[in-house]
Amino acid sequence: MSTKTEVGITLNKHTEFNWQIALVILLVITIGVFLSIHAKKRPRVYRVGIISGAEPFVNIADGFKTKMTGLGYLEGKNIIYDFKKMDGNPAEIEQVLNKFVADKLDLIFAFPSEPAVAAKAATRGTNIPVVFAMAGIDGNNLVESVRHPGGNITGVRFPGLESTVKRFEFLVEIVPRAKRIYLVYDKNYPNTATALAGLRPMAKTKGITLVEDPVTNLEEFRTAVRKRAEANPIGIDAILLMPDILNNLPEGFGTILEFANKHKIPIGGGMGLTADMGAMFSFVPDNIDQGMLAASLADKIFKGTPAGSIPVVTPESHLRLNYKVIQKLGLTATEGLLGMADEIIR
Amino acid sequence: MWNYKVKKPKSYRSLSVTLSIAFLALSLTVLLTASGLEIYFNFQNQKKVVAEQQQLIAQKAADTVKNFIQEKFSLLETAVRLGNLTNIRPEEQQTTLEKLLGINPAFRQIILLNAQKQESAKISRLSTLMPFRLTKEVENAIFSKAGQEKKYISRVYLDEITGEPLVIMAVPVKNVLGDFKGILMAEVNLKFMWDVVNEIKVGTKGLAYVIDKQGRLIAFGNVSRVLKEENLTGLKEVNDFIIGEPLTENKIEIAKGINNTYVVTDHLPLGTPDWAVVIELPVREAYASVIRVLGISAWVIFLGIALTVVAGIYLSRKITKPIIKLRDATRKISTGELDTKINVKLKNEIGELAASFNQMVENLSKTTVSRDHLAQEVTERKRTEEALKESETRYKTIYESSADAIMLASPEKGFSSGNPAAIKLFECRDEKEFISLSPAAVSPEYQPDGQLSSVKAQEMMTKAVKEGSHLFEWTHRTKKGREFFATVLLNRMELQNKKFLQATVRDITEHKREEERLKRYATELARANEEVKEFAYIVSHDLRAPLVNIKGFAAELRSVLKTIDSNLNEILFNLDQEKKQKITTAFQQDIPEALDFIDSSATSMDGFINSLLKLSRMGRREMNFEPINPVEIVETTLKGLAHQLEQHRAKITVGQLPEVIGDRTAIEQIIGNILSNAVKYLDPVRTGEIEITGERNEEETTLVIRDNGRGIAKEDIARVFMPFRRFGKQDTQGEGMGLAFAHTLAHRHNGDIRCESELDAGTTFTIILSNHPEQGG
Repeated sequence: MSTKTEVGITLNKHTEFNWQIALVILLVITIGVFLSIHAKKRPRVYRVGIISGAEPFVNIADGFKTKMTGLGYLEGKNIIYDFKKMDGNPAEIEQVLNKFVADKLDLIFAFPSEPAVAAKAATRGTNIPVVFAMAGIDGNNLVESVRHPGGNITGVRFPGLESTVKRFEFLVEIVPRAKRIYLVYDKNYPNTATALAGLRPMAKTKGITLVEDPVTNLEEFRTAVRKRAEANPIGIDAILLMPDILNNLPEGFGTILEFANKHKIPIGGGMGLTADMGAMFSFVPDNIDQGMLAASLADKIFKGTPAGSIPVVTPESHLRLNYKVIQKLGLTATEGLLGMADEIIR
Repeated sequence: MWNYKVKKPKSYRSLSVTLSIAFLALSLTVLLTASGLEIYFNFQNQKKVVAEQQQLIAQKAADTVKNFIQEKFSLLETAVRLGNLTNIRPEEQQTTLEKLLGINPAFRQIILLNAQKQESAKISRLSTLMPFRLTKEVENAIFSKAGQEKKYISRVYLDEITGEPLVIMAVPVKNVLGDFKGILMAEVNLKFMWDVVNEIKVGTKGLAYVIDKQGRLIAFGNVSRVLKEENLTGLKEVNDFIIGEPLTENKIEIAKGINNTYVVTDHLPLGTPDWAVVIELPVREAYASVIRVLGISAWVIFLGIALTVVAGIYLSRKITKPIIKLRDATRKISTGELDTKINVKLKNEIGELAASFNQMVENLSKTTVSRDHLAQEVTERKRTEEALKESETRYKTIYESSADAIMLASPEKGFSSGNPAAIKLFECRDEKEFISLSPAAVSPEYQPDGQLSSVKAQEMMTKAVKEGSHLFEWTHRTKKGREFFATVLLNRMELQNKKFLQATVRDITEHKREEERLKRYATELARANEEVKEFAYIVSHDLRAPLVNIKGFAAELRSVLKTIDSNLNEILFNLDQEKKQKITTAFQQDIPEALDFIDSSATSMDGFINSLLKLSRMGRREMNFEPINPVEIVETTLKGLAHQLEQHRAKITVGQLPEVIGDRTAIEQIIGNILSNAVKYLDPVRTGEIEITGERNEEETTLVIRDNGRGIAKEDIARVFMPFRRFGKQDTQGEGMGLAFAHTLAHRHNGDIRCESELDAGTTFTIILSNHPEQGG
């Protein structure tokens, strides 16, 4: 007698569906699909080189960083800054920029004009974008035009021409007797030529003589001012600060201030700091604002827009009046001028 | 021509797969329909909500922009109204304008024109070098509007240096009486509107921007694009504004937006100025809830598919498993495995089907088993029949061709059959006649032992019936009355519940005769043998007496001769010399020599007779058989031969010798004679080697004595056991009786001695002794 066969159990034992394995596979697939959908890409870390040409502009970087943080670039997390503070030495500026280029940074933020121009030159032939701030764009080939800067550069322009001429107008308004206005400036500074080009015809229109002392460095600057101080008579009624580094460096402005205080000569200021230190006023765009504007441009670059196609932006200049100094000099600020001032130091 | 399409045979598809697919398809249909409907209604609802939200946002955005513009107009109007601009000195006018400029940074320049379009006062945030874009066309438009006591706002134009969008806004200047005295106009930098527009919240990722009637972007969070003087007429919503597409309530537009992504967009014209605010909300955000539902639905569908697949497989397997079992069972049954059972215990139709199937298989199995049994029985029967037939043929052949008479008989009915040999043996015509004979009729009245055949036959048959078979001798009588001796083998057998005796009768008349003859010969032979023995004994015994006489008389003669010899000279003194010499020679030489010859011959004869007597005695001596260790005998013999062995420097090898049953004296003589011969006839030219071995089997024990002596010539081997026979070089003493004695003694042990030999090589004697010597001899 043959033994009985349980059909369907022994025959199909090897093909029995394994539910546990099937469920595990299903679970793994589900988790895999879920993770692949929701997986976050590792954020890219941007490396930005910041070069500040001189002490008075350093806080431009603060504005830049603050805005960048607001835009989602967290320092140390997805952005690293290599911040170099220079003291106006062109050779050192060039050296730092060359290092930035060698380090193949993702962006160079340079201010004011001199480092900006040097940065454009240093990055030529590379694909490192340059954002500038506080840089004059007239007469220095920094950009092709405001709407289309060209190359791999964009930034926040320093309204050198209009603000210098406006400073001249403010100075004349406060010191209506001034007939001879003293200018000592770095003749090679990128903004100088443009500023002079605006000032000279304006002075002529107003019947005012510009007493000019062109220099090339701080030493010459000091010598020129010292010489002017030694002159007898001094031969100037007011001093207008020019938009260059030498005028705005504490050392340079200090020399002028010392000379002006000694001879009670009113100073029409430049950077905001000069109004605090002894000039009658300052008329300049705010450093923090400029840094923030520059950050918006950097963000566009990081998001894929070629720098050269991003229009150059113009910051608003702010008038700060040092009412104490004006009064001390026995001068008067008109009601209208006071109304126009963004800040009055009393 | 007809074209026939050959249908491809459908490929096999498992029911499980079909059911799984069907289940999946059904579930998917339900899932997709449900999800589709949910998504559709959700989308419609969301569309309505989004449209309403968009319109609210657009309205709010438009209000924001309008407020920006209105604020500037209000400032200008307030300055006109409170500043009493028409009645104050130019310096005061200048101061008022400076204050106005200081109030709002959006004012770049402010100019006061009198009714004659002459500049009364001007203040600028820029240097005086910067131009004021007041074209004649604009001036006329301003005065035209102002004349109508209306506010004016110019088209947007861009600053040449900064690229920033600017407009000229103007309000009429009137005196307290309301007379038109001039115009106060301001160049307004619209970049201050950018932040306002940028701060308009459109959802989370939405945006708003302002365009003018030419489609030019004038306010947007992305300043760069405004500065680029972008024209957005390519965008549908912008185009709708330019061509004046009427606004539709709850209308929703999905189109490419300012960032070239698909957005839900709407616009709202401001009226004055002739701009519009466009708002865009990414589709993903606008329909986030729908997308979320879509995502959830996708997951639900995905999980649904997964679960459906699993459930489908599970259910289809659950459904098909019993069916597969059924299928497999039918396959097995089709191959004849009718003991196959389906183990399905479902309480449903399939369970019932399985039960019915099992019942059916059981019934089929029973039927098949019966049928198979029948078929098997038939086959076996056929086989048996064939075997029977074959057997019958075989036995019939044996039966019919047997030389023995074979018959069947029962004690009650007598013979029931007889083979041809029986018919012939009992001299019948045919079987019928044979059967008609009673067993008593085929025997004489008495058997040779004097018993009545009928009584003895009954005894024989009873014994055969009792013991199963019985062989005995019987004297038969043929039909014709001839008697003959036979052996009868009766075998008890049972056929059809009836007891029979099968008798095999063999005629042994000839055999009996031969036997009688042999008996007779044996008796005669024994008698002759006894006579020979007696004769030999008598001869040897009786011959010894004359020999003793001959020897005695010869001695007597020698004594007489001695006497004669001592008196010879006296006896012969008268004879001549020649005669004297002859007689002397006869007495002193010839007669003693003859006497010596007679004496030696008689001695020799006595030796012969003694040997014969001994041989005769041996043949008659009573043997005393007992177990004997031949090793002892061999050792004793060898000790006796030690001197000769030393002379021949012989090497003796004695193997394992088995125990023998025999007469000790006889065995000693047999071994002693053969060993003695072996030593005696060793070849002096080579070292002697003698080997003694033995073995035993059930019947007999064998001792082998092998030497490397001189050997025996081939022609002499057959006679070595004959008495008084010696062969080869006769350089040793002996009578030639040793082997004859040994041979005789071996025979008395129901055994034998064999000799194998090669001249100059050696001789082997094999002594064969029966293990049951008492049965022979």
